[in-house]
Amino acid sequence: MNKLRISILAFSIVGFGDSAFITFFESKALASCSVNISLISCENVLNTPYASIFGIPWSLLGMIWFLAFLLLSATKYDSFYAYLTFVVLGTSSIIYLLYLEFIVVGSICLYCTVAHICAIGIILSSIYLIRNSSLNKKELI
Amino acid sequence: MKKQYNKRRKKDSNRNRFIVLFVAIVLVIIAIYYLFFQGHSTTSTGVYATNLTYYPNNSPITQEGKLVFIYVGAEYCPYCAAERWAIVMALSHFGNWSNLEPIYSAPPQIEPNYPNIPTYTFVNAIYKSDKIVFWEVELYNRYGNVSLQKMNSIEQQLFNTYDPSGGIPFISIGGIYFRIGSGVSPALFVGLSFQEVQQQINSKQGPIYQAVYQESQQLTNAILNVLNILSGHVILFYDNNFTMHTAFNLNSNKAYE
Repeated sequence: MNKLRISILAFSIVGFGDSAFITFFESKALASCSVNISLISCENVLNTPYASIFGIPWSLLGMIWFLAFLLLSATKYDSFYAYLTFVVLGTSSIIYLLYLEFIVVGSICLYCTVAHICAIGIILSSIYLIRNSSLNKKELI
Repeated sequence: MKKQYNKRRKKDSNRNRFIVLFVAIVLVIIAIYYLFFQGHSTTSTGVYATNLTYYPNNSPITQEGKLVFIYVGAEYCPYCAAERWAIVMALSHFGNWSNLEPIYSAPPQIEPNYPNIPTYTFVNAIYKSDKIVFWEVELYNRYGNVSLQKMNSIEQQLFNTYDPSGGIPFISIGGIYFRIGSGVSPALFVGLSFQEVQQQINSKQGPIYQAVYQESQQLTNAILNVLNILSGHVILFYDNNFTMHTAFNLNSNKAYE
């Protein structure tokens, strides 16, 4: 169980840092096109209107999502519903974001991909934690 | 009983700690983002607020004593398309343009987000000035599949040094001021024809004029500052945050508007 928590914590820290970098440093400098017209291009992804939802950057939402798991694991708050809520939110967002990257925009951003990998790691660890532990289902937030 | 009570208390304490920390940190993150960083991304008017980057210790790049203004872009690029209007406006204060040909940036099948942005191409453009030399490079055509022009060794060196991520448009003003990306949002131009944009700019009204004018002011100020350095009248300044009034005073007898 501790190993699962540690893996969630580790993925959360990396994902949080990566999302923070995109939010505060990478996306602000990108009002530009890429010279290299290729599949891998952060410019192509982060400069599109799809990089935000209702005016809020996806990377900022990602920071908040990773923060939730970081604190869930760090504070040892074993709430079934808290894990479930954030796992459902994360899974649906990642499916939508991958659809945007591959189908709509036609490019992928490596920084975003790092965040996606961390998120998938967290989701899998959380599902395993939910299934194989005595997470208190009465805990509600 | 007591053991259960203690367990319950510990869980409550964990929950409270989680909620307090989560809410507090989220609020801090949102506050930092909106206070310090939001101005750098697209605003409701579509204007990018990113400033030119200033390298005061660089030696000015000149050709025959004239300031070298470098532009690297491509015809497919909507950000380059938006920025060109500001470049044309800014450089018009110091010289004359000819052979500026109207084009549109990449069509929707290539650029779905900001398609068909009306602009000029610099490929055959001629710029004559007694103060500035304009070096332009349009790397690719409108479809991004034909290479049009190549960078010379100086341009390539500056591009590699100051724009390692390879973003365009890339602008160097005398090798002292640099811009990577556009100061004008292409979102403002979507759906408009070349004539409509030109009309708005000539009428000096509307969001496009405001955005283009604002960016051209930034470029003009930077040019004036480098010209001041070149002319020997070095003045103390920290960044490019001069108002036009200050720039006008420094150059004494000509208003750049």
